[in-house]
Amino acid sequence: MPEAESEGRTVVLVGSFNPAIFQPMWFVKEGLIRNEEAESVTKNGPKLIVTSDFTAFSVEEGFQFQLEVRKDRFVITCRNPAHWQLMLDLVCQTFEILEHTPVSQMGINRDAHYRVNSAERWKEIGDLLAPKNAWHKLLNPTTRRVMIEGTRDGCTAKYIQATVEPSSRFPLPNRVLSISTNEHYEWAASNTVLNSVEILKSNWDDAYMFSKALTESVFLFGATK
Amino acid sequence: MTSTAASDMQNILERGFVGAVDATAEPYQQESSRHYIEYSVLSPEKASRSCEESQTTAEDTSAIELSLSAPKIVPRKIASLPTAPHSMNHKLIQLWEGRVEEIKEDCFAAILTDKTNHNLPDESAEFGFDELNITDRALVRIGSLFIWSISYEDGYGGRRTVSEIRFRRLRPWTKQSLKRVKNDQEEIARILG
Repeated sequence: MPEAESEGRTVVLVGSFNPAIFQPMWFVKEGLIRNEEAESVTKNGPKLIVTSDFTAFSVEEGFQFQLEVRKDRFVITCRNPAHWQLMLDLVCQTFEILEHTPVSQMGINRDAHYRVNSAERWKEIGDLLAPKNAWHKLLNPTTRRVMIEGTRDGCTAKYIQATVEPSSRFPLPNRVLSISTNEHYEWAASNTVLNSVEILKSNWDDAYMFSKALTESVFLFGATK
Repeated sequence: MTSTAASDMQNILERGFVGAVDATAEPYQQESSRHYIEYSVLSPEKASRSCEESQTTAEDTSAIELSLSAPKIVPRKIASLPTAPHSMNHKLIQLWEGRVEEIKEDCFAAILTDKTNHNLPDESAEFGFDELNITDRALVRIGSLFIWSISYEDGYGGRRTVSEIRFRRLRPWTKQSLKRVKNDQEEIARILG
């Protein structure tokens, strides 16, 4: 199994948020990140957006992560595997402080980008995941994106979506495949975030192991060498 | 697409989507008696529409001249949304979670649990305080948890091996947290009879 060129994990919460709260210095004040990490946000130019409708910043030193918060979404991404536990801690601690935040959906997501060695294998993967027989009316049909939805054993997620497509992080003509998973949780009624935090903690490791096994099996599907 | 998929947001980031900043009026240009006032865009949604409009508006300069009494919003691309540096890639080689067992004068002893290979037994090790980031030193207490990782970092300067100790920033239990746990315990006890 080849090494992933890049791998990231993301937590998405859908609910009701106040974006203006989520400034880097708020996280410092609450003891959740280091002061120098907050300072790194604006160190190399303005990379901080804070308004009542939208907040976004990227910490580029130390614990590197990207955060975006809208009134209805909270999205945090970390691309350093050594810091994924820190990201989990950050999310859980943040919403244990903001414990009355209503949350109706949560996504535990992962994306991995694998380089394909040959043009032949690149085409073969696309054809295996989406056979072209049904598309014979099209000239030169090419697979651009495949999304499959299912569930996993022992998981209360409403569904898990797996998406395969050419990587946007390593765009064509690089032959790098992006395989991502979205483990989606949903609650019938508006829910406080503490329930989400517990589910996030209890599924964090299993979601990763499943995603890794799934993406590897998809990448190797049909490979003869 | 699922509402919790991050790929739509990631695509927005990587296209350098127009960001939103505080609405502050800035004097753009003063020429004789005319004043040009430019307002920042307030939301990504508005920015998206406005960018399309501004590309046409910017070329027609007569439309930009305004009077002070009726300022027109002339959106501009303020900044790209922050994106993680594409040049930096991380490959994890080894990861342990440590728990501080003893604090000595210039070092601390810990039990390490291998998170890369779960079949390996726990080990003990000592770490000097000078191996820690200065701000993390205040986090060293008996029972504190930390992550010790060894990774390859690939950046513009090539590949380097990085060893890092990061203390987990976990807040102490609050009375409310303890109360919630107690309530959960009582509920479980009630269910189990």
